[in-house]
Amino acid sequence: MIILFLFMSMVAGSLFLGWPAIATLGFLYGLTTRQTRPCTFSALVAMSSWLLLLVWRSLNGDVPVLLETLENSTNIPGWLLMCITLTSSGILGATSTNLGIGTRLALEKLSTRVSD
Amino acid sequence: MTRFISSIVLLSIFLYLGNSRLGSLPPLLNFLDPAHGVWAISNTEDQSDLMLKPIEGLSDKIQIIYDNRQVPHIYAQTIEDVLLGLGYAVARDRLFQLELQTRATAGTLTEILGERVLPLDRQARQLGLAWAAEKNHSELAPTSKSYRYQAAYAQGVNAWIGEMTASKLPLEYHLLGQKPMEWLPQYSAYLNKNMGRTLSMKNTERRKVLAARLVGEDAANALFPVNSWIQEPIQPNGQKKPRFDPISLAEPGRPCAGPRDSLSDLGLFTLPEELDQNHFLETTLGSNNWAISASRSSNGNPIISGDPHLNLTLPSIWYEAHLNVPGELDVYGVTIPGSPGIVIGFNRNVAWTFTNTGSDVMDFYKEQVDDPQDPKAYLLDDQWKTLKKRVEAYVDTKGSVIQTDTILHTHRGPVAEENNVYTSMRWTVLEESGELDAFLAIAKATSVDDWMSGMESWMAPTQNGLVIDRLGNIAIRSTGRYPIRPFDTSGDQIYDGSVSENDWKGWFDISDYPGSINPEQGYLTSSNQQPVDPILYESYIGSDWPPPWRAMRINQLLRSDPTYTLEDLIEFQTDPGSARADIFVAAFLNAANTFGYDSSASTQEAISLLSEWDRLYTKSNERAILFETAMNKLAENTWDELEDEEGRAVVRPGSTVLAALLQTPENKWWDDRSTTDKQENRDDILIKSLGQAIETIKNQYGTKSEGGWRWDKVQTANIYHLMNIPGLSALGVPVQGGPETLSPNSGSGRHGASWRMVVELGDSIIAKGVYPGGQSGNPLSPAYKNRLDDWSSGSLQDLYFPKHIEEMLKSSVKIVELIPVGDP
Repeated sequence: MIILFLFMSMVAGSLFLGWPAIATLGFLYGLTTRQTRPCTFSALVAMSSWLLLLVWRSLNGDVPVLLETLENSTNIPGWLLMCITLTSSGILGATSTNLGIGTRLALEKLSTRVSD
Repeated sequence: MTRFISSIVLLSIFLYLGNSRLGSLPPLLNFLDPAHGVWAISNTEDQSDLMLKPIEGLSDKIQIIYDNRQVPHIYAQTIEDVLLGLGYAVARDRLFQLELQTRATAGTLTEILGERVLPLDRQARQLGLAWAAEKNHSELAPTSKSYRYQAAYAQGVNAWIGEMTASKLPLEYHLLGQKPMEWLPQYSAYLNKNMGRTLSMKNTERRKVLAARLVGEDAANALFPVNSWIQEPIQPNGQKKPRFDPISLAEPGRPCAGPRDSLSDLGLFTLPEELDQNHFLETTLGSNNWAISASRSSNGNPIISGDPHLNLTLPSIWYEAHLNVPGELDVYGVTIPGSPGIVIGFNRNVAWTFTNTGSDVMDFYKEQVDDPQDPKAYLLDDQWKTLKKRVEAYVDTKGSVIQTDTILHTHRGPVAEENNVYTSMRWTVLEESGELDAFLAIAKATSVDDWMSGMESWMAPTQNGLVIDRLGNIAIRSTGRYPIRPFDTSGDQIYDGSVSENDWKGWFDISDYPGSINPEQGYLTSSNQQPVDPILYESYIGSDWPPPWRAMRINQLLRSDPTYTLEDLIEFQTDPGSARADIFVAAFLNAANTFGYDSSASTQEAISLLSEWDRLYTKSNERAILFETAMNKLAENTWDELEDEEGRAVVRPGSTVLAALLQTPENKWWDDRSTTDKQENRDDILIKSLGQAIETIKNQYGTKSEGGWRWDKVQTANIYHLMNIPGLSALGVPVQGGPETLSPNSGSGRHGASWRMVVELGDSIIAKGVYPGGQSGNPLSPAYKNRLDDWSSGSLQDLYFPKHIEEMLKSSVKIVELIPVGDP
């Protein structure tokens, strides 16, 4: 359920705030989750959310023309740009979740020291 | 704690990389964001079928109705509102172009493109284009028409910018990682100044000084003469054919004093590309226009043909629009994005077009300053006058100052320094401006006389305005400010700046402008040639005129039949004939006859091939390349005296002067400096050039039988995207025409016919036109370059000019309504 919630939040957050939403939500997820392999989950959810947005774009627009135009203007194949897009969201999700976990662990350690 | 630190480091590295420019790519996180980045523009639909947009301050609604060629027909109740609509429509289709043009004039390109364009910015600010535009604008009363119209246009542009989402942001902004700037009303004035730079920045003085340092003053004067020796003027002189005045070109003499080693550095107020060797190729920046009166038209209606030749870009410099204010304005034509008016077009009663006059409206003054290392004053009539200072700072994409210039000004204008020599400039483009008033006045004109009156406020750049009216009248006038110079001197010299008596004394009276109304010959035409026969007109208005070849050709065509149809005039626009080829091919073949066939086999082959040429630059022609290569070799071989020690051409006269030199076969200009045992004559050089030409093209394109000599293979139009991105450009576009044909095509192929228009004013108006590109500046849009095929083939498209809005509403494709805030 938390994964679905994360997915929907990342889709909505990306729509309204753009990529910072992925970083923020990934961080919050890392801060709060106790799941195993949270970074992998976060990466996959972030990629899935951006994939959904790209699919939505392609249904409402002409992505092949855009891919061709981007290839013409950047000299980078359009499919590669699409892969870079999805990979970016994955890395962003994973690294921000990692920071969330790191922060949580640091806070836990700090609170243990204080209570000692 | 280790994990915490390492995770911060990892995320920071990723965020740093994702927000940094990688090579030519923008920051990737913003660029590739699927909601706000470049993926958002995948929807190529330019607008929905009906869109309502509330705008502050509107008194009534503005309807922008698009036809099937994506031309906006803008209906409003006031002039201000219709111009607001125009600003909105132009911004919707051409926002990035608007900004790039403005920044090019203002010298702020570094702010979006980075430090690599700093030389362009420094040159723009040295010239003071934006400084002059700001000055003009600040002198306008807020109640004046110009002020109000510019403000309305700006409001329209900003209305579009204000509503823009990521999906509407032009691709170029995504690629640069930038956002659009706010459009200020005075930017329209910037555009006019930029047109002045493009069309009237003629620095013959510099070229003459450079030439004189190599071959002496007499020879330099002969190479860049005040009058053309071939007279086929714009103002008809009663002749039935061109007049060739006898001429003997002064031979190269002793060099004048001056540092020969810094010849290529003398770049005062010079465009960077002018210092490029390619600049010596025949230029195609010019234009044609012609009109026939009712008596010369097959169906008794006057017809006009407009054909301005400018830089070819994607999107095009032009944008088509129809503006309608009931009872006040009903005009169709092309505007330049940023200009609140129709530049070339027609209304119900008149049709008009322009070519560039190319008159001399820029003079230079050598100034004496108090301290060449740190000048604070300049000498004028034995008194030291304070130099005004203008500090210009250039910033990069991050907002950091990367360069500061202090531009000095005398009372004449900006000062350039080179080797501690200070030269000031006076230029009509930097002075008063009345062009915007003129655009609106001529759009409302009801007759030729009315149109001429409307153009009286036109200052710069000087333009050959051609107009016809429904009553059958035709007229042309070379309009713009012409300075009255001291002591009847010609302006092709550098004046002593230390005396005020060398300053301009005033302006020509409009009645003295070259022009003609309803001439006996029944037609009028201009192709940038010397406007008026010097036998009939003594005043100096310019020098070193563009070659008359296009003028000769169109006059030849317009004299060949008693009457013409609209289709004839369309055909003339891409006529493949060349008066230049007529003269020079004859010279090559005469030289071959004189020379005999005592030449190499390849030279004999070249002579044989050239003799077979019909002198037409059709796409399939396989001889034109031989002639053009021979012409380049001929110029190189003839003007070897004008090269520096390293063999680079310093200056090069035009082909009119080369044609004049043909009249004197033994002139020393023909001598090859590299041979000491022989003095070559004209025929030696002509034959040598032809022999070199065939060897060159065989090396470059293979033999003729291999098929690589076709004209449309070797010389094409290359229409670059504004940012020179090849993938967004149209390169290698085949066109009919060559150097100095009516549809010129030469060199890099980046110049040519920018807007072809033909209008017949009868009971109904028949109007056709095309420009290379399309209405949309969006490379993803089907309307980005959908007119290219017609342009390439010389076809014109029907221009839809409905009388009533109801007709428009029936046939419209899309409608945008700008409504007052609060309207339902």
